[in-house]
Amino acid sequence: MRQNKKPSKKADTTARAENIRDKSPGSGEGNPRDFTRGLKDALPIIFGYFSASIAFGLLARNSSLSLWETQSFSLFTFTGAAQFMALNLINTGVSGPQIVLAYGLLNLRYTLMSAAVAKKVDFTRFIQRLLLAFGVTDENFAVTTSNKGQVSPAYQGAVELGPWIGWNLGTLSGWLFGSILPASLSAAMVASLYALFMALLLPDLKKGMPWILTAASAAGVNTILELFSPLGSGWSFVIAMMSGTILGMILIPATAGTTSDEVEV
Amino acid sequence: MNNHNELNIMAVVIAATVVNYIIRVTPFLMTSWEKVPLAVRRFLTIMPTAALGALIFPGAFTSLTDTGRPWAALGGLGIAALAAHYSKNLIIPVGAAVLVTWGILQIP
Repeated sequence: MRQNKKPSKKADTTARAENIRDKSPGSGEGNPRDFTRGLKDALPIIFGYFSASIAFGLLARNSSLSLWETQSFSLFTFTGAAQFMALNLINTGVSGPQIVLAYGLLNLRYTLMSAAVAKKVDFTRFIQRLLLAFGVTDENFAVTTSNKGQVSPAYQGAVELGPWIGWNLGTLSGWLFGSILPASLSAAMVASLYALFMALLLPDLKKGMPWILTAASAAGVNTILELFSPLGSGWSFVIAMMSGTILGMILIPATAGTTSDEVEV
Repeated sequence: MNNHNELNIMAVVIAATVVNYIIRVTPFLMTSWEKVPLAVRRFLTIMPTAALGALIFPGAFTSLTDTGRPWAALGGLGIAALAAHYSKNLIIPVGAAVLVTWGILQIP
């Protein structure tokens, strides 16, 4: 539709050249280099998920879940915190519908994260939307949104698929062999997730005081709510994230913030 | 341990899968971001920064509660920030943080 407005052939060529330049290096639906780049960016997540899900597999086995029940949680729901919570609820004898409700509440935050990810990806086909919606998590959302400009579906696919495989292999290993690992090593491996968050946050912090205050206020609110309020960690997180973002919208100049590119200035 | 004998785990998994997918797919079905108000787009741009702050605190510390040394997270986060300052490659801060955290947990 937009091409109709271009009067000359020359303008059309220029527009196409610009289009290509705009989108590189992150475009083309099946670009193998994008896929590889996505896997590389996701490597810390794959590593962290593998470690964290070993703990999940082990705990699930200790809660007398079968291997298939345990693995199904990781294969089909793919939600770190909520899976641990579900185990906890299963052990305390909570009913099925209540567990599912808690699952939904804890994962409501994904609505916002999915919205941010969906905005970043240059979809070329509808099926990509349906597939890539499945694997958005806190961690790969953070990696995707840390990219300057748009990303391709191939990139996003790698950023979701790699961690999904890591999470499932870890779950399997944890159920089968988890009891062999020394506790200090598995605890330190879980630290990799937080190191990843820190590494992703640092470039934002360098943008100046308003950005530092945005992150710090969300961190402070979440800490206070989680440690001292009866809210579950799901609600604490949502409230903290919202209040930090609202503070950021007040403090960060309106010229920054329509796209991530403009924010980079 | 056997509280869940009457609970059909697979039914819970299936229901949770459906709920999760609906939560995640809804924003993906929006096709036109140009029509989204500027305030919402600004919100979505700034939100990751706030989300990261809340993802780190207090989780980095509470994840180590079982070890009796939650403060060991400070070492891991510190080295991660330092490494991220000098390197764009994410695996370096992550690897350094695991080593430092593990080292602190080893101190008798």
